Amino acid sequence: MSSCIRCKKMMVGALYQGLSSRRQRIFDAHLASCPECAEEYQQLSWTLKIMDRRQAPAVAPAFWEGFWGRLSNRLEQGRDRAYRRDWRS
Amino acid sequence: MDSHEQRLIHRFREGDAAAFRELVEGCQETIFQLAIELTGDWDDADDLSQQVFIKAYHALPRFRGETKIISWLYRIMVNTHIDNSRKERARGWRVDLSASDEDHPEEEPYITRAAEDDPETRTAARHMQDHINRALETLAPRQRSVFVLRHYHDLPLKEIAGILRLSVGSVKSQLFRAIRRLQKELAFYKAELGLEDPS
Repeated sequence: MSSCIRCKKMMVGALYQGLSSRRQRIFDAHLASCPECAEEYQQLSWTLKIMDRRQAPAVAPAFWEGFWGRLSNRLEQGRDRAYRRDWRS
Repeated sequence: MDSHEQRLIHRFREGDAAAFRELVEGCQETIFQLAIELTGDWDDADDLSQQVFIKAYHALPRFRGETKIISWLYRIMVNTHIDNSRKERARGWRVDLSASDEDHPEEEPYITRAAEDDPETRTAARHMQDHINRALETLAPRQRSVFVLRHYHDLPLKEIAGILRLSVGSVKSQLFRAIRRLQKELAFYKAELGLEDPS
């Protein structure tokens, strides 16, 4: 039971290949002897494989052409608001 | 922070407005991708990205340069996103982002879609993207931020902890809970993708 808790603490590290070789060996040994943890690890690995299939939206150049213009307008508006605030006070 | 970034910040502090534009253009795509991953919505992502750059513009004179600019912008974005979500919740807003774009195709005019020859393949691919995005929607803002930064931006847990001002242990547990949640949401895909047990 306590080794299952320890295994769960190592699960994220194992999923992202972040365990030291010693901890990886402990983790693997636990999975070999615990079907519940092995099943959970497999389920979570599958989930990450599905999430890998997410496609980042491709952005057309036209979007970036307008991005700076929109941003600088908002910066200008902010400056105008600050100026009006200062002027009133 | 590299020497190019240092030069840009120096120029900005000296009053060179073009330096800020250069800085924005150097990282706008990465920032926008993160915004899309956090919000799941084109317009919200555009707005969030701009909020981040506006905050950066005002905070840049005080930026100490202890991290790379991109990590600093990530921190501003994640905090702004969490803050926006909190305000929306407090206002009782619940925007339904699950509707398919087929219902309102005109809303994403700038996305150039990958061409798929077969309409069936295109529909299936589109549905999968919708399911993945909907699964991400089920995560709490902080959990989603942790997952996205680790999984799609490949940031080490220590760096994520720095961005969110959490302990590494806490980031790890948020990430574990996020993946578990996604697993529940996407369990039905296992068979479809041939990921079932061979037995």
